[in-house]
Amino acid sequence: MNAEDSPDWNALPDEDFRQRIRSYLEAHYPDQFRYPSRRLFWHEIGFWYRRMSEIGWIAPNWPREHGGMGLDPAKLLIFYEEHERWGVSRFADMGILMVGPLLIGHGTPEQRRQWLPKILSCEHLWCQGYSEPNAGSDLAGLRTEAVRDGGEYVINGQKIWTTLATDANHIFVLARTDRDAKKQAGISFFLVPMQQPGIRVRPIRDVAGHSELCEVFLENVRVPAANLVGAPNEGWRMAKALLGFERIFLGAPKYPNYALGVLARVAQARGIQDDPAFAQLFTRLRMHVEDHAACYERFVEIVKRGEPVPPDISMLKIISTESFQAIADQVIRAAGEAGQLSGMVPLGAGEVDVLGPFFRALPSTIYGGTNEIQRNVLAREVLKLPT
Amino acid sequence: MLADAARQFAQKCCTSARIRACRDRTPDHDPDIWREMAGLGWLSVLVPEADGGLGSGLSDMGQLVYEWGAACGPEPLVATGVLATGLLVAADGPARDALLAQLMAARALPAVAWLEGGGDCAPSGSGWRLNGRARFVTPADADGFLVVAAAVDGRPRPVLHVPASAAGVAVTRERRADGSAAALLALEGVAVPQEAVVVQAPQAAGAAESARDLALVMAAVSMTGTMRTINAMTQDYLRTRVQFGKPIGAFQALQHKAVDMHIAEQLARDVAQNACARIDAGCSSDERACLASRAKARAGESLDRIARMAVQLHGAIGFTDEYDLSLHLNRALAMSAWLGNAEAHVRRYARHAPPFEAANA
Repeated sequence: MNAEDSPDWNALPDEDFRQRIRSYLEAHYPDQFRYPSRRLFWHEIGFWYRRMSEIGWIAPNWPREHGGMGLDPAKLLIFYEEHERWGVSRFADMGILMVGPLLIGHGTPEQRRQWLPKILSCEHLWCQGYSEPNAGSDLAGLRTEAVRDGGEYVINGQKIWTTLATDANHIFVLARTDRDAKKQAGISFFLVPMQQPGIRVRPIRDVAGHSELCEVFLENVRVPAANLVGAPNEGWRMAKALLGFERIFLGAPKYPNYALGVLARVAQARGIQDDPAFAQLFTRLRMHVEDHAACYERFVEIVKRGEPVPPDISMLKIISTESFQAIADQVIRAAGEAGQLSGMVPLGAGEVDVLGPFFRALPSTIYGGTNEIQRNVLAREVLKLPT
Repeated sequence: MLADAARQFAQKCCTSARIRACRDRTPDHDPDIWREMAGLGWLSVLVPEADGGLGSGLSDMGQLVYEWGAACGPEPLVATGVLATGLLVAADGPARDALLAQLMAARALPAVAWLEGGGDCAPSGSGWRLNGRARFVTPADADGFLVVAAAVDGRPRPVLHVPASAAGVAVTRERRADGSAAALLALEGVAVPQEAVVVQAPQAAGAAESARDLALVMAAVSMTGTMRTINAMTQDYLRTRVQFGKPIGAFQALQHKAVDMHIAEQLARDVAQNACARIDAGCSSDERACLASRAKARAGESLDRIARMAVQLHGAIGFTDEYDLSLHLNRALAMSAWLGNAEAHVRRYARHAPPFEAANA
């Protein structure tokens, strides 16, 4: 779809816009994929992203001239809110979330022409090569290295915790290009096709038995120098700048809300919903989720006004993930002996994935910056405590 | 602007010395300061313009209450300036207008008193006769009480104004943790004339509940003020106290506790402000009750945690009376329990909340 054909979404009143998104999702998104208890693979959910691509909704966050919907912050929030409300699975859409905005902000016109259309068409699926075995919270300590060799760079190293690398055909990689610089200063940002010789992907089976996370090994992987984005050694600064707006979604009340719904279903199925101790506990959790929503709304208002996201936003991720874990734990307790069964468990008249919320919640305090790192950020940048 | 002016005034008149002087004293606040507050219009904020007030809502009042709470002001801004005022504003009886005018001018200091179970408000001649007791009534130094009685056999009772000096009224002062007093009110055959009716019987329960909700939200706001002060004191201390050769705020274990205190404060503030905005915008009485109970429950939980943690982070100095943290810690204890603690408001929320509907049902 050309930019000329797409409506000027921002000109619509918020409620009209919301209604259009909502009615489309309700009419077209298949029921069996609502609120999935794990991340869906491309062979499961790819059809939906192709459809989004066809109707021009694949890149809500990109400007219209680059083929996106060009939504302003308020509209973008509504767009995502409606997806969350209907339980639409978000594929690990790193091309849309990260590579597109990066190229639009820092890429050359040639790079944009080369890469953006294929992200929009879903031909290129991207994964994120950031973490390494020895560079997790201390990401700037990464050791994957890219060495210039004529018109190419040769990359060697290893990435880990790469989500859905088995589905992706491209990876963007942070690699060290200056060994002697201060650790944040010598890092560059590369676009790497995964069919390139020297790349090997190994899925990691997680505690829940899923294999969404992967290791990616890079051995003498050659990429054209034109695949370096922005200036050499500027990769760290660019990567940090990419984590702006998206951070609010890590703090949304959607996961605690989802877990609360599961808790209510489990209690109903086991007939304990009116037990006074359970009822009191449930009320507390319900109030907590509502309180969290009030906090979330404050940040949403900031984003809607187009103001920069304040460092205080780290608290949202802490509140959200710790609440999610607390509720998920209660789901297991409420399930009683059924809490030992994995997968969909017959309970009462229906079926519930009793351990689903637990396994989704468990890593949430680790990914996206551990909650300890978030607390460090708050201590330093908001409370101004000494280091 | 309102907030800045309120902060300046509150900080000017709430010195540690004055707060300490008010403790264990009768009255437990300064009537001169109270009159000054009235002069600034603080007691008129929630009063409709038709009654000579400013006709503003909780969001505006909240700015004053927040600063007053942060400064640990001893004057009963929430107990009289919100609870009694809110009841009078919602009232429809013959005693309403004069009392409201006097309250705004600081010429009357009424306190709301809920008659305990077993108490009785019975018709007697052309008026009423009161028997029973009410506890935890603040301010204890009120010159009159707005007595709320439960319905008898389904027949609602009016809210009555009873002067503290009326025959049959006995006031026992009970010391609160912060050195202020709560009144234990004993009413024995107190005769109340018809013209002392504040709220007519049919409206009484509704008016009292509305006033209670406003007071709950404002109590929560006041408590977030206390949180702000405690957190600021604690963070200052972490930045300046040196042990093992560095400021103790450089230790990650303490940083993370301070961050959790900060989050607890912000969350309570967001919930309280959200309640102000939504009540100001208009909502049903059940919604209002849920918002108010959530605000008070969250404030109670956050403040309890913050106050205890603050003492821990200060170390032994935090346990002394001489260090001003003690004033805020004791205020926290009084405010957390007043009008119902977090536990009570979890139960109250459950009574007023709509049935839970799962988002993904």
